[in-house]
Amino acid sequence: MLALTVSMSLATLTVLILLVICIPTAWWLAHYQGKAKPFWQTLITLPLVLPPTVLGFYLLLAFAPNAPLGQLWQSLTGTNLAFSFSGILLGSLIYSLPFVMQPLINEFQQVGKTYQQLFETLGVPRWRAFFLLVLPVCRGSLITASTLGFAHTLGEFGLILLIGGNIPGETRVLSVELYNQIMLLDYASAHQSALLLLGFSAISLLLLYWLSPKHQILKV
Amino acid sequence: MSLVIEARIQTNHSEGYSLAWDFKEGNIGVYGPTGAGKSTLLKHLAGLGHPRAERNSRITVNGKLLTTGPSHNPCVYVSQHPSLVPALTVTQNLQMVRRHSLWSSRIAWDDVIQLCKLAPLLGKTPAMLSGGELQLVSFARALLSGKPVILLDEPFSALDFASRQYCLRLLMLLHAKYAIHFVLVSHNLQDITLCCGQILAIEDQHIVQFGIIEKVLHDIQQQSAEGYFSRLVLKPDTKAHLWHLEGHPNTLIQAHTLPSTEGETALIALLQANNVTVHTEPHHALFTNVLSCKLLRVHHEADSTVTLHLLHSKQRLLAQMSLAEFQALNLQSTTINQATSDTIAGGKRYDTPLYAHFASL
Repeated sequence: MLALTVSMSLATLTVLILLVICIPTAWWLAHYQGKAKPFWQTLITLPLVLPPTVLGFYLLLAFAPNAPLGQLWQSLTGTNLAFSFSGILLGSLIYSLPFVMQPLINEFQQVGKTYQQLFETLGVPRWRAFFLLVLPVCRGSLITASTLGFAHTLGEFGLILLIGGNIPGETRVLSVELYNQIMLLDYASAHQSALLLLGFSAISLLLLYWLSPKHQILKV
Repeated sequence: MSLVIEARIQTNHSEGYSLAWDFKEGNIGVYGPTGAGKSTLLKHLAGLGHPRAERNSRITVNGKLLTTGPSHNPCVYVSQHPSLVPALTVTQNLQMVRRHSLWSSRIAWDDVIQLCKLAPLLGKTPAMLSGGELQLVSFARALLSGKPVILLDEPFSALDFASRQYCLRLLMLLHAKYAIHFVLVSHNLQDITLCCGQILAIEDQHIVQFGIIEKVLHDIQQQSAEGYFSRLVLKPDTKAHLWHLEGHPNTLIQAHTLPSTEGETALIALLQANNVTVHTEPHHALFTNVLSCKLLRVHHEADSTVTLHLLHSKQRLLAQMSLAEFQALNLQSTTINQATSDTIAGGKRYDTPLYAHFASL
């Protein structure tokens, strides 16, 4: 199914890009104690509480060919950001950001900082300690962040419809396909799409609970 | 090789203080009540203090200012709450640090395992270990980090008495044999006395006393709620099962219950003041150890007991008895006009020779 391929590509790319962005950002924010911390926390958490239509509305305005972002994108790639796969990918990155960022910040604040200090005082250089020791110790949160980000992107609907429209093979994801099938009263196909989404969500959560190690830091 | 640490410690809640440590005189014990700032001091030295306080502090090691991160700092901090990676075995936890540390190990893997008695634990995960075993692994990991200074914050608090005594004596051995320098934080003055050559007393983020243990121990004991005790440095004698006082090869001491570790050249034994009996005549038939002494000072305690400060050559011994027992000794004293030295106290000089008696250590 074309819509399934679009959904999977979107969710996979979103998670991969978000991990690259969120790991260093979450580490920085977990250690940052400046006065602007509440501002950064609000900015990162905002998509969690914002109605998707509000976010979609502003993104649609920003993606317009006469808006600065839309113009920049067009000058770089020669294509429109609105109603394109790149557009919905950018939207998904913003919308799913808190789902990936928050578990990582919590883990780095609680466990990561302790281990980082521990390994550093034992003579392990900072970056080696982070990549070889702290990240493997925090793998439970990496799994949680990836799973939540993937499942959340897969279930996006309002934001995709607003900034991506309904273009088959480009922006029509599985949730939008399901909406179309319901509108056309094609309940047999709607059942298939709904079951697929249900299955993916359930499997994601099962994987989350199975794979998360009991990694609480051990103290006497 | 000797190592000198000089530091100006600036804490968030006080004016700060300065210290200068030379490990030539042995390991350093940091003693003080809860909340005195002992752990804060150790964390500062390891570069793990509060960032603002760290910025305002200044630490030099052998004259070189420490400006880099904790991994380049020659001090490793060992907490009383060990943090091990739970998914890894004891071997993996230890090897991880040995392999990735910037510092080359001063002590071989096999020696660490043998000295810390870790062989039965190597295949186990941290969840399978007791609190004391976790502390042993954490201590071994610090040894394998290769750093020359190990800052121990109540490191053996979860160990049983015998194991704790063994580990404290091990610090002396490691200091002498591998030039690893230790700073031990403890509430227990006896623990510090067993393994340190110098002591720093700290109270309310201020240093109240620092010096070689022989010189400051008695002053600190007077402030402490712990009972009085003497510190005897013993050397193994040519006669089997016997020891002699360091610097006095003729003064033999029976101390057959003391554990001896291979390679140990000197042993510190603690003698409780209330286990020492004082007579004006020697009673060799009744006691295993009899030392002839000179009475230096009589300290009257609040509860009608007296503490006698006795001197056997240069070794100071404390003995505690009731005031009535002391009066029964009927000591001859000369009243003098002015106290001029340590051998004269309270305006009296005691001329009667005394004999300190105590059972085998």
